[in-house]
Amino acid sequence: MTPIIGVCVKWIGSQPTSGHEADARFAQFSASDQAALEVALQRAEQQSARVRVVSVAPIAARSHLVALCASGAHELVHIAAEGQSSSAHVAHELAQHLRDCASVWCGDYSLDRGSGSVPAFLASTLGAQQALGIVGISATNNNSLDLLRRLDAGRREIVRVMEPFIISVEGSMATLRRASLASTLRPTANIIDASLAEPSTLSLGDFSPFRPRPRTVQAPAGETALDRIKAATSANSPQKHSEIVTLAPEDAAQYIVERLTEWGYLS
Amino acid sequence: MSDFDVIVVGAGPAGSCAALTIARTGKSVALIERGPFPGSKNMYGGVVYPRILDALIPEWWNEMPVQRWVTRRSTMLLTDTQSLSIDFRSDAWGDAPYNGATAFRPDFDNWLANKAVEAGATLVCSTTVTGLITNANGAVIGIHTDRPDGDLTASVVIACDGVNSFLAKEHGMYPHTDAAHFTLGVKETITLSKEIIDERFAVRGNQGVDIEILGGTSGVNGGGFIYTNLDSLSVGVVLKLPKLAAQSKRPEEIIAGLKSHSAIAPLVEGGTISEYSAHLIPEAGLKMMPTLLDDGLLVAGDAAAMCLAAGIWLEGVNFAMASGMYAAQAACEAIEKGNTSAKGLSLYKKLLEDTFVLRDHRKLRRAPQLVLSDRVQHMYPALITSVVQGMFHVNNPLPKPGLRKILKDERRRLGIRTIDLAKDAITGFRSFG
Repeated sequence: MTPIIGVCVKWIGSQPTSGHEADARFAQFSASDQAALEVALQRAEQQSARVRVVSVAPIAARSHLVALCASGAHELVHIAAEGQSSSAHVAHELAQHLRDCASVWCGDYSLDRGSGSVPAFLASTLGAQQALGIVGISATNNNSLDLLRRLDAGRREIVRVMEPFIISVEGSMATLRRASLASTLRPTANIIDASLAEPSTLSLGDFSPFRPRPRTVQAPAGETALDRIKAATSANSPQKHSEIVTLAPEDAAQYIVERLTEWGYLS
Repeated sequence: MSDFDVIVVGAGPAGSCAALTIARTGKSVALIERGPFPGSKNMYGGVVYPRILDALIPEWWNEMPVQRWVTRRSTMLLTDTQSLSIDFRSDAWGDAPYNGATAFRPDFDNWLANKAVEAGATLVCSTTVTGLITNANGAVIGIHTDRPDGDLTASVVIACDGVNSFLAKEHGMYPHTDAAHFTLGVKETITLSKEIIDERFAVRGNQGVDIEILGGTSGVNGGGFIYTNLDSLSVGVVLKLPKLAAQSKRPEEIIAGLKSHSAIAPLVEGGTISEYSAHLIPEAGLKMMPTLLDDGLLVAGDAAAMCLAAGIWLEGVNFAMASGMYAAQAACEAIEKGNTSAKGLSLYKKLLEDTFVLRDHRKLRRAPQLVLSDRVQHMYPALITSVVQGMFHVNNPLPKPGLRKILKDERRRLGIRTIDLAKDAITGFRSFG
């Protein structure tokens, strides 16, 4: 059976502005969505797999999705939906068409700068591992990948994911190949139409972002305003840069909890 | 067997009219566009005269995306401190079947291209045509594009690839090109509320104004313009390339100079510049026109220099649409007869010769050179405005001078020779008479 690699993309029409309606001519996919498709196409070539693009998008997106798939995708699942849906609901609908995929590739942002939570819900729904902010593949094994992940301040880390997995890539990871003229004129991707189901009435509970409680901090001491600013910003204190701690996993976890508690993030 | 009966390169007004005409005959036609959608280049700032569309889209005015219907036309002469306007208004131009309109090309071109698609044309965007495919005899049989596997073949290719056509040049259809044949059009789109525009330009509803300006271009030969859109103005200058290159001011400085003129500043003040663009305009008319057809190839629109720049008449889109339509008719006839050689495509030349496209260019062939000459650009505006000032200036206790004396004095002061004035008058009469 031919393996299938899934790709999720989000189509964003131009935002309506004052006095003007949204205009499909200015609609696009993000660079990271395009990179996700390119990576999927490259892996499909290595594995003799098929690429399936799945998208929850309005009818107006159809020609753009077809044009995107002309780059080499084998299947397009267009789940028609006109309004806004929750990330959990979108992920649930996407998952219906991705259950036979060992790997699913997503962009790590959409042009409307949404919450970025669909891949996480998708991973949860499919029971798959998830990795975010991927900028490269450092090693390929049978059922796993070693992925290069971007961290803050220019740092990188390597994470290993086992199939099935959901990967969100950055736009810099790859540039989508240009579709050939032949496939642009005569799209070959098999198009599967679907429509968005009504959201489940099952509540997932209330979610809210974590915000540490406010703490009372002593007013800075100092004779002059400058002194007080220095005190408030610790400008005169010896600078404490990041520290490298080598500990066993259990001790490392304990250390992190202690530091977070010390800094006020945990009570 | 070719991929298509006809390939049209460029989905501007010429290309879309060509594709629409061909698609309606049932022939297969590909319309190849470089931009992500037709009109995306968005550098136009002018008036569209769509009368020619009567033949293609009955009652086009009910659906064409229009900013304003032009009901006022002003011609303005500017010197540094003076201005003289000849202002014409016609209420008839504000009702069907209308005359001219200001339009945004991303809307207008997209609308026209969609008409071609609805008729059966295949529109391919984001694809640049990089060259022509020719057979052993040199006849054009297709195109190369920048896409992988990007060659397409057709019985006829219609090049509507705009000013400075690479395809026509590649095929040797422009025997000589000269920078003096081109002007640089530079435009700012200035956002103002509809209410302010209506008040400043004395219009209501969707009535619009077209102001053509002679002078005000900081000594560079050319002209200026102001067109009213619904809630913005197109303000710009058209500059003769060699003259622009020979001095030190940049185009945006020249527009700034125009906008600061006492006759223009009150019209644009308080506006926000929302766009700035520049584009070459083929302004030499017949003098620069390329060979219009060859075996398997037709050239139309700006690619064929189908732009009329004759002072009081500044038209391009209507010439483009007509030439695209006629090129399509010629291509269809040639395909039906099984002869797409230059001889088989010669109907194109005949249609152009029989209609306004080449007739107007022929009649006005001397006009572009006259309009852009130093005397018309610099001396005559000064002469006319000074004469008018002399007429209306009250200098009591001196009695009013006669018009002939004012004219004689001002002509002498400006150093305009009678023989030059007479020569230009004859040229003008031959062109515009």
